[in-house]
Amino acid sequence: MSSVVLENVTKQFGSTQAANDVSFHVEPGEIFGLLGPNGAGKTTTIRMMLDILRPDNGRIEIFGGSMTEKKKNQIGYLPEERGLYADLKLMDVILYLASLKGMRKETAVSAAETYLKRLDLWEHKDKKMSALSRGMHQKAQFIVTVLHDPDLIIVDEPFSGLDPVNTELIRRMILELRDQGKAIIMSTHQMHQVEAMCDRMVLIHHGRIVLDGAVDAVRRQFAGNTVEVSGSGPFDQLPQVQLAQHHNHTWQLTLADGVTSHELLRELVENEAITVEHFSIALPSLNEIFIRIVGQDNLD
Amino acid sequence: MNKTLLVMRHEFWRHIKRRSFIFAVLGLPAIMLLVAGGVILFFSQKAEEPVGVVDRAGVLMEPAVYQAINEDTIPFIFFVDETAVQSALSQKEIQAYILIPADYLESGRVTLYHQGDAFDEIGGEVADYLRTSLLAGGDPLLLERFRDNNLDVTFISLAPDSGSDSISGIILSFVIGFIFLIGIFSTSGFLIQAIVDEKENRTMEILITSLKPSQLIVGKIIGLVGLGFIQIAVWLGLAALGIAIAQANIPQFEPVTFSRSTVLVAVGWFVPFYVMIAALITAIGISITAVAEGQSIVAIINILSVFPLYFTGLIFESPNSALSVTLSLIPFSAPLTILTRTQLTTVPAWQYALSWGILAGTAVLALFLVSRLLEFGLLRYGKKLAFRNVIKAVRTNTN
Repeated sequence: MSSVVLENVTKQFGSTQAANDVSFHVEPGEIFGLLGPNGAGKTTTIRMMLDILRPDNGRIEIFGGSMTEKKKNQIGYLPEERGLYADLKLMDVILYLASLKGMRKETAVSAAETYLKRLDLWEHKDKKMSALSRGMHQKAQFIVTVLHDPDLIIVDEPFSGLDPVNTELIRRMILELRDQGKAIIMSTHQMHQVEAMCDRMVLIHHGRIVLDGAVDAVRRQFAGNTVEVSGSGPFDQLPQVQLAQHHNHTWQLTLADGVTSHELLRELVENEAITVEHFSIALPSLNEIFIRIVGQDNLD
Repeated sequence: MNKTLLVMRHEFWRHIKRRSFIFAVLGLPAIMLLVAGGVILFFSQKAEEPVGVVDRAGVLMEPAVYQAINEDTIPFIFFVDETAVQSALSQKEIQAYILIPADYLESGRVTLYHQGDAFDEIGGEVADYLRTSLLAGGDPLLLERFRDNNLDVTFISLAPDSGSDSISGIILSFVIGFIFLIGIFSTSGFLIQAIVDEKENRTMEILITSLKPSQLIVGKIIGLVGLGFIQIAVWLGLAALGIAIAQANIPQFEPVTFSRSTVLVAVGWFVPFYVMIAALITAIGISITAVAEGQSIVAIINILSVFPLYFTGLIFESPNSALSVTLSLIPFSAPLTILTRTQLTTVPAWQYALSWGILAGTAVLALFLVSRLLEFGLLRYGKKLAFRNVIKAVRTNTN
């Protein structure tokens, strides 16, 4: 059973089409990237999943059916903007929000202690939220999101405000949760995190899905006529190569018109003046793909 | 625990520990205490400053003798002539002086000279001094009867019993009404702030994905109503304590009595009224992006709630008039009007029932509507909800 299924979902606000025929599904044990530029419709889509908004058309299923009060306890949501209760102590905020997710106090206290210690917040548990740094807020919000052991976790910019060490800490925890079989939907503009963490993804633009599939498959889809080669020899003098660029001991070779990567590989193997240590199709980064699809509109 | 109760408990304890709440609860009585203390101090100081006497008629007994009879009197000092007493006044040795002319017994006239800041009660004090002096040597019982000019009068009302019809009771019912209103509107400030904050920092989104909007709203409002009643109870308790202390220490203090029905009506009407106001305040909080935006609408609600005041004279004059009955039925004006009428007249049972029914029904309806609005208002971050959208939210079938 899929954790989330969206089928042909649409939502319109006035003349703005926030979601237009959006369809995807998220399975247990995967991290699903929900990408898109600002205002693309990601948050609207998340809100429809969470039953904060109702779609105009289409079907949304959570754990195999419509949203119920019981299912809300199985969902953890980390919204992008944060604040929580500035005048309350960290531990009190965590326990209150955990109680609303149906957690017994003793269980919540025990789980909170584990998470607070792991995220280096234990000594701050009695401080007011207003006294915590932005990074601490983010970690606290992450604890609130996962404390009740939800089966579906939706995180919107989970690394916002975090230093590299804490980013790595949260990244590992998200991967652990994935390995435990949780379905995780991650919305972020940090494309390298999507590349490193997500199994599948959609890219929403103007409310419509413009890219959909496994992250590697999407990158391959955008792979052009460039290969990466390392080794020694006159790579820049090969007739099959139109342009050769050398960076960090690696050559990026743009193929001449009509030349395939197979033909170039054969040439490299057969050419005695050349030694090849590594050969691969150069995959564009998600960042490049994002800019290629979304940026074109904005730059035009 | 039920999620509504969790929200209620959270809201109650969160706000009751706030410095601003503690200040609001204790600030008003503290200010009143300071004012009362200042007034008492001013008058007690004045009461201790001596008053000069030039007795040309020779009717007054020696001040020391009078002081032995009446220990609480202002100190009096005899002067031989006006020059001496005027000098003492200009040197501020005395706060004022009285001149008793030689023909006092015929004319009965006494003149008091002061410099604008004399104790108001000097006239009465002088009268007591004269009365005691003139009665001295006579029957001690007569002296006892007339010295303090006390008249022991027992009031027996022959009018039909309509609760307490004393003026103090009527004033007290208004005071109680006001204490309720002030309490309601001061705690409502917390509510609008909490709603706007939670909405803007998206804590509301976490909450709404954990429980139903109706559970959230009802929990919040009941928590805040509880808070308001704690505040009101503290104020009323301190007021009762103050009255008790005043009655014990000031013999002239008129006994304050009000019927049990006044208390029942106050609580019975102000609870649903508070729920209704809190729901409206919440609706405002959902529809705006900053607290300041809501102030003008909150001000309108405040004005509507106190508008029976504009008709006070008419309600007092004819508590059973069509206007009085109408004001009793309008939810905004019902609590103050019903409370006042309960003191003034016998309100028919059907009017009590209808007034309370309309008010309670409006409160429940307001709770329902604001829950609907919350579902709709959440999506409009950073935007005000236009009136037509509010109507649409209410009409939209979200179930």
